[in-house]
Amino acid sequence: MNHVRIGIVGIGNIGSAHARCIASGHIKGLELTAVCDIDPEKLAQADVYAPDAASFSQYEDMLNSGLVEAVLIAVPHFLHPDFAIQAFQRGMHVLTEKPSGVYTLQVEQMNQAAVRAGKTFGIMFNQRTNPLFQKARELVRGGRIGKTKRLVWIITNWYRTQAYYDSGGWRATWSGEGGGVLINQAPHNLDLWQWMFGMPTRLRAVCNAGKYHNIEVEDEAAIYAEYENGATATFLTSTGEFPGTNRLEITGDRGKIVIEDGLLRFWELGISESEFCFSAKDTKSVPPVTYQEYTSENSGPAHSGILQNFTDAILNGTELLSPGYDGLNEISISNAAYLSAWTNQWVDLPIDGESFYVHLQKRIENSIKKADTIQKTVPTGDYKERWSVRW
Amino acid sequence: MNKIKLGIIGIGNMGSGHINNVLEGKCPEIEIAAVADIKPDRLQWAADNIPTAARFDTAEAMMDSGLIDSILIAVPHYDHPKYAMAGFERGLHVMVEKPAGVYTKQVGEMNEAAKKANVIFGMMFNQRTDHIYRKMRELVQGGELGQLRRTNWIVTNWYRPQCYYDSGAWRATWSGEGGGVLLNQCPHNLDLWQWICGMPVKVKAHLHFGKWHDIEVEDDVTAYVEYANGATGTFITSTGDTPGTNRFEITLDKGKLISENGKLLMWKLEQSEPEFSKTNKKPFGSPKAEFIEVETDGKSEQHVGVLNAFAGAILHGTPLIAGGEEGINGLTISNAMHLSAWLNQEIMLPLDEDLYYNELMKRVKTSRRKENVSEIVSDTSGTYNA
Repeated sequence: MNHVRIGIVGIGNIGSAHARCIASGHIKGLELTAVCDIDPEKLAQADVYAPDAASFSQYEDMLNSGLVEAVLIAVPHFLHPDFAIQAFQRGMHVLTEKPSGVYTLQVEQMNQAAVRAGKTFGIMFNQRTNPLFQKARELVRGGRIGKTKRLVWIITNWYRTQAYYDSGGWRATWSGEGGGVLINQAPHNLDLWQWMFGMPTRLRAVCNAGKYHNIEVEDEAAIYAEYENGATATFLTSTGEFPGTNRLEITGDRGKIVIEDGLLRFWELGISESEFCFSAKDTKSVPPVTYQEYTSENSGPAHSGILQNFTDAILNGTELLSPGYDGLNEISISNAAYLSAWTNQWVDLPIDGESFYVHLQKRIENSIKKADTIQKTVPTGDYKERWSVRW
Repeated sequence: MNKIKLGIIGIGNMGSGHINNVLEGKCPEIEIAAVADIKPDRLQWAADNIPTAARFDTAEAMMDSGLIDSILIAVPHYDHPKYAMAGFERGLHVMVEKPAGVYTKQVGEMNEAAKKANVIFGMMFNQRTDHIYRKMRELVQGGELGQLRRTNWIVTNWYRPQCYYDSGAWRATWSGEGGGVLLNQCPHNLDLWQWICGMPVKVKAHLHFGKWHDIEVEDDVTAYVEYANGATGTFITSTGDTPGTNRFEITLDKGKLISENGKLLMWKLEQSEPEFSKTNKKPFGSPKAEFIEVETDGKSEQHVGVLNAFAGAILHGTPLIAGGEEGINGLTISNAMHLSAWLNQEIMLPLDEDLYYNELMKRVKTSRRKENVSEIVSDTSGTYNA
């Protein structure tokens, strides 16, 4: 096989952007041969930016068409695992948009199906292509900052308007989207957090629903987490603040990293803090430190980078930058955050998926059905600036 | 020139630091007429460095001597209210080093006594003199940036090595100091936080005790608070991080402020976010924001500023930097953080003072005697994070 034929299911905002990117020949070795959507208007738009792709209104028909060996899933969140499983059952490769799903039980099933299928399984964590996050990961995982101590991420520049929330019937409802900021905007950040710093063993969270907007889900969340090695993490996010902040700080026994405004700043200690602490004789002294800065000319290939890497993995066995299995990690954190907020308790990780599912179902039952759209946004087939890493 | 006749109670790090400032001529309206300390070697230091000051081995003897009209209390924390009240009883003006005390019950009593005494009563919150904090208070309290939404203070540049904790038997024990980073380094920050943003109504804090050091009290804190108007806040501090961070961010519905690295940055929205949200129809619209690096007067008089204002209040009736009765505010937050961690629950304010006192005393009872103490008096200039 020298190229991969992919079908995209769900060609709304993000799906149409992927479709246009692939159809314009941007991704070497990847051909868009099919698109699928239940909305005929969206299929009609696709005829314009992806004229060579066959159109389907039923997912099953696209899967059975013989036109694709890979699918890209860009439908509302609840459907991600089921659609992935259907594709795996037919021996296809799967790239799913984030989040991997809404609750861990369904994501675990998807991961199991992926293992059985043995096919390439990716997830669209495009922010992993950002060189600054990659550098931070290298410094942390490579031991340059020593034993991890603290992470603080203030990621409050995800501002969204009421009009945004009104623009899709599925948006910002428990039954439609499965959550608010933690399930839509923050999956990138939650994934990066665990990708760089590891998974915590327990957390407490406060999630405020409809604080800044007329929505039933959370538009603000504060998470405090603890690690087996004693490290702590604080994660603050909101869609109600402007201009907001995007500042990540990671401290370890041998140094500190701060990423803000497109710059990575790295303070490296000449001696580990723990060693210094118990050997210093001067009560005012601090360990010696050197300072370095890293910046990057670009913010990485983002979505197209993930698409290319996914294609290379299928054709050449290239290692996936964003394996689909990893999706379970960030969804575990967000599920745990919801559960902690709802029960006002600590939640241990790995999470009790059954317990979360029961609580989620209660909210879905009481979920308000929104009118399908108040103002439809017309998918333009561009990768929007708001989907990239924004400082 | 008219001078106040100040008596210093406690000539350790802070007491001797204040004396040195006066000796260097920075406080023209203050004469250090007397000093008191229970340690003979500290009285010897006073004899060597400020021979003109009368020396006493008890604070009471000094206060009864007739030589002073005011006192500065710089003894270990538990005794702050006791000596303040002794001063009030004798009609002396009182300046108290931070914290006001260890638990709010004793500080409440001190505040009551102050009211009745009708003397000048100040707290040594020297960081209130800082040009950036003063400006922040003006901008937030003045209302031009709207309603408070979020406060975040990462103040982890309070690094201390183990030898600092070993340098005094009273340090970092429940019975001696009454707490760790919250009681020693952070009273400044907690006071500033409430002075600028107001008091929270709910506190949930995660404390770690002796995490980075061999001590029984807290050296790592992550706290989450809520305010009456629904705003939220986080406060993160430690004496175990280095190089550490000092970044204070305040978000309001019409703007944002960040104090870091000696600069105050401001974003001001053309219209408040709620106003914008009401009329905006564009899904991906956003309010217009202007970015400004705020100009300030650049002054930070610190301890000297507080001392001079104290003298000024006594001699001329001019304002203090921080009224003594305000010390209870920051201490309330700190007590609530301890209580929240001890009981593993969120604490509503006003604080249950008796509950706090009882929980504290439990820990005082089992407080350990420190063994490896090498008593050191240090020149603490440069360690105040001012």
